[in-house]
Amino acid sequence: MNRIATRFASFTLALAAALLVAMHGASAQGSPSAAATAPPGDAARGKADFLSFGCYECHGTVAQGNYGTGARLAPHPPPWSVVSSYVRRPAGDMPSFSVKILPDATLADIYAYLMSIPAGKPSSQIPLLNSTLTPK
Amino acid sequence: MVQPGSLWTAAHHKIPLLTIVHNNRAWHQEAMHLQRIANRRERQPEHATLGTLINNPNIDYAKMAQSFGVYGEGPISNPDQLGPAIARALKVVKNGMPALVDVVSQPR
Repeated sequence: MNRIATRFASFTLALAAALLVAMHGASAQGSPSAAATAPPGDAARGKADFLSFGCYECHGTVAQGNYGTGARLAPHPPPWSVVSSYVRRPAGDMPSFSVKILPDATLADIYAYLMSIPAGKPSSQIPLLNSTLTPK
Repeated sequence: MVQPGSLWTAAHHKIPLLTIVHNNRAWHQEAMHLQRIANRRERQPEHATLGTLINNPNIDYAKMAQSFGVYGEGPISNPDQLGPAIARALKVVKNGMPALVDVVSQPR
């Protein structure tokens, strides 16, 4: 198995584990940050926080994700219960963000920003991609 | 940025070298290391980019190349402009001279 495939497999396993942990945490702890419904947040402030707290370093400047570095978080981010749990106890290479350094309110702002990011154009509507992908 | 003198060498000796700058405007490996340590020690991870970003002002690598006598294009941040820019640079290289294309990229 090549290195990329190995990393992808590791990432998939880590994400699956994180989802299980998050789901368990949401049901067992019932803490505000693990609630299924996101608390209100300020998207503009969240955008600034997404950049200043370094989220963009792996997830990209508009949370588009990048193969092998960070998962795509937008558009259509994972449920709040998953995000809020994973940020506190991530798997794989992602550093953890405790409540001390990333308060719940700030995380809610970041989540509001993720929710506000619109979907991009489908590839069929991007001339450059079509000219590249269309067989000659 | 660290060793631009090699561009002068390429121009001086007419070395047909195409250089494409993966310009993430950061010492990003260092930024990531600082981020990881700051998180681990719970010390202001938002400061991890202090001293590790190469912006404000952004470096104009195309002008830098031109100052050494190398054909330079960029900074390119619109994907539509990338293909034509590389094609123009390759034309220069095929004529026996070095060229540089500065491409603005994501951090990683």
